[in-house]
Amino acid sequence: MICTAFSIDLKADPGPPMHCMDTGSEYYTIDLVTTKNIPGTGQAKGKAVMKFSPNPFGISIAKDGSYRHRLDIQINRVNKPKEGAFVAWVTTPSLDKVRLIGTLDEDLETSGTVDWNKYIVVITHEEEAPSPETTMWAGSIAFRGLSRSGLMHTMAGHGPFAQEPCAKYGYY
Amino acid sequence: MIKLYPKFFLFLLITSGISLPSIAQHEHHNMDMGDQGMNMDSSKTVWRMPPMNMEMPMLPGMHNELPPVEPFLAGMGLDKEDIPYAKPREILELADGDTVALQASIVRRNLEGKDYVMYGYNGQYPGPLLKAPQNSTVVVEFNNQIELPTTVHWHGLRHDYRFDGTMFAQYPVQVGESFTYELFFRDAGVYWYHPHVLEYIQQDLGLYGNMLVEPPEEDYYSPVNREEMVILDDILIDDQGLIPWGKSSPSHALMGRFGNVMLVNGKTDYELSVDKNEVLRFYITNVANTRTFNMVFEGAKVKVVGSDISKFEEEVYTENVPIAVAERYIVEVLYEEPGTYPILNSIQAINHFRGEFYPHQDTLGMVNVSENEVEESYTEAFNTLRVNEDVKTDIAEFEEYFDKPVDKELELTVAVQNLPIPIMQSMELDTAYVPHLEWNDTMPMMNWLSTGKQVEWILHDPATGKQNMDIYWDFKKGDIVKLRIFNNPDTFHPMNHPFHIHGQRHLVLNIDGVENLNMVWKDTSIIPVGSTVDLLIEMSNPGKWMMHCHIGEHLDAGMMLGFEVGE
Repeated sequence: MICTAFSIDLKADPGPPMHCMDTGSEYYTIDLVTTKNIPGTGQAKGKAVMKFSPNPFGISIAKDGSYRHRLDIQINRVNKPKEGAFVAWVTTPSLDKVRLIGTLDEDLETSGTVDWNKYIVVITHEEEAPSPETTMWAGSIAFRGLSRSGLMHTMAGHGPFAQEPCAKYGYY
Repeated sequence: MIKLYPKFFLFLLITSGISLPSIAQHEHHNMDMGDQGMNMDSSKTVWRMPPMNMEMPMLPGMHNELPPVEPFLAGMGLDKEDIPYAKPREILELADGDTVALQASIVRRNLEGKDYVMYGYNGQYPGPLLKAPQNSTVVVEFNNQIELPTTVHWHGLRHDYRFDGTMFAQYPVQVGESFTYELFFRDAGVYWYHPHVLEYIQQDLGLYGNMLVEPPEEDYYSPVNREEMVILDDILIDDQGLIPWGKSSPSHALMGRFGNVMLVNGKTDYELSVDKNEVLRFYITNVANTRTFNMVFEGAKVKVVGSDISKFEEEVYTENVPIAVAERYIVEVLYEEPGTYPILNSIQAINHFRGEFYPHQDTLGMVNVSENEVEESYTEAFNTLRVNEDVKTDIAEFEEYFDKPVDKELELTVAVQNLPIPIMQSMELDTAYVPHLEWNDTMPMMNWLSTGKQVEWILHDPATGKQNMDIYWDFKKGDIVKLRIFNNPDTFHPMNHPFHIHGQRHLVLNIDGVENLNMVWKDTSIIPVGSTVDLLIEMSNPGKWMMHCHIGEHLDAGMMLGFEVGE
């Protein structure tokens, strides 16, 4: 159950309680979807809950105007592999930047900060926990989820602008 | 010829591209619509489409649309040459028991070389700075010489509600008439005054000013070399002048009226000269109709000291200062290296046509740091983060209420009717994602066409089903009220709301369940889209008061309620 004024129930059969989700805005919560690439994750589910990082201004904003979110990540319904570790990362939609969020703990949870406005959360299965300096995953992708802002789509060439000559506006 | 003059053609190509303004009016719009349209007739006000980002096409089917309300510009029928130029603000150093005269009048302002007919208090921009000692009382003899009824609201003051400037306190001051306000400055800090009638017009036209309430303790703040009052604003202008406002009901009702010209203290050329290692204390107020600024002091170190009604429990360093409408922040700024540095509004804007964020910066002002070392150095104090035990002690008295049950709830939502069909369809398509906060006018045409006649912004009380001014809560002096506000993202067009509570002070306890560990007393707090915010309000001040969204257009589109604090 997410803490909102009007207590919105999650989907039926949410699995075991997800302690990290006691707070956060449901609207911006990211569903983490299994790739089924890792044995024991076929029925797995996950969430990345976005919250504002603590700050004096109520809303946490980076110097360049991007939102600064704390991500609380948890996966469940996982039969944990005997070896290796699940590791959370974020990457831009164009995959040109990757940042390590953290290695999931025994409860399959981790937290970190991201200051991009549109991004993909990736959970990989690594042979071992990476060092904080690691800049790219090496293991298989086990889960992925897109920030809500990923739903913002171009109108160029379709919808109400179907008849617009999009090239005129620099869109090719 | 191309073969002969390739560089010349390249030059033509480049310059032709440069000559296209990024912000302009789309040629598609029908600019000649007879009596209602945009053919300019200097004797009466007509609508003109606001400037738009030319990278975004106009929504099809909108070419003949105008806001369905009468347009308004100040001083129509007056000869501009007869209107006196406004002067920069004066500082009025007041003592307990003083009386000051304050007059709202029509003034002429010059912005970037062009004259505009606007409003001003005492013929100044901004209005005069009222500096008064804490716990003092000052009488203001107000006179209205603009062409609209008005009042003055003394934003943030916990004083007698009869002088609050709202509908609960007084009838509007008619043209030519006067009203006497008695102000009591209970709390140290920075406050501001503005009309509480047709704010979206009158305040936008220049009716605003600051109050600085000075504490008795000399060490209340850290020592600094200089104090600066900074009022952030924006105004919507095209080549022909100010874009008209809706007279009986606001245009831009969906997102509020974003300006395209940034103003600091009413000017476009704010500039400071400081010495190396000078420490300045900025008292920042956002008086824009709807714009939230993300203020960046390039080349400087910045420390957050206080906000609306108090200092923070603990000072913190920051790289930027996000400030919503009507909020105030007190920051200290250290310039260590000589050079010229901009003060920026640095945001991630949205282009809905492309479906993407893009970085955007407005230069709000410039700071020139000289090679000369400042005479008296306060860098040691700046480099120390103070823990404000006085604030901590004050707030500690309310800790027992932090976990109390919620007393009141509000859901923030919106209802629309009779908007043009292309707007309805487009917004339904494009609201699969809504941001926490609208930094820019992402849909200028649609926003301009939406008026308070079609858009109703709603404060909904789920306990009673009542909304907006049908809500009238009763409290008693001394009540500590937990108010939970949920900004519902599943509405036609959700938006952030700077929520202002009159006459009392409040704490932000948590946002989306995340506990606030460094509190400050507030009178206006931002409620981001999709968020649930718990406020703890100290009902310390009897009277009849309002709570409302401080976006001028949202306020006039219904988003307000009443409450009473009994003795």
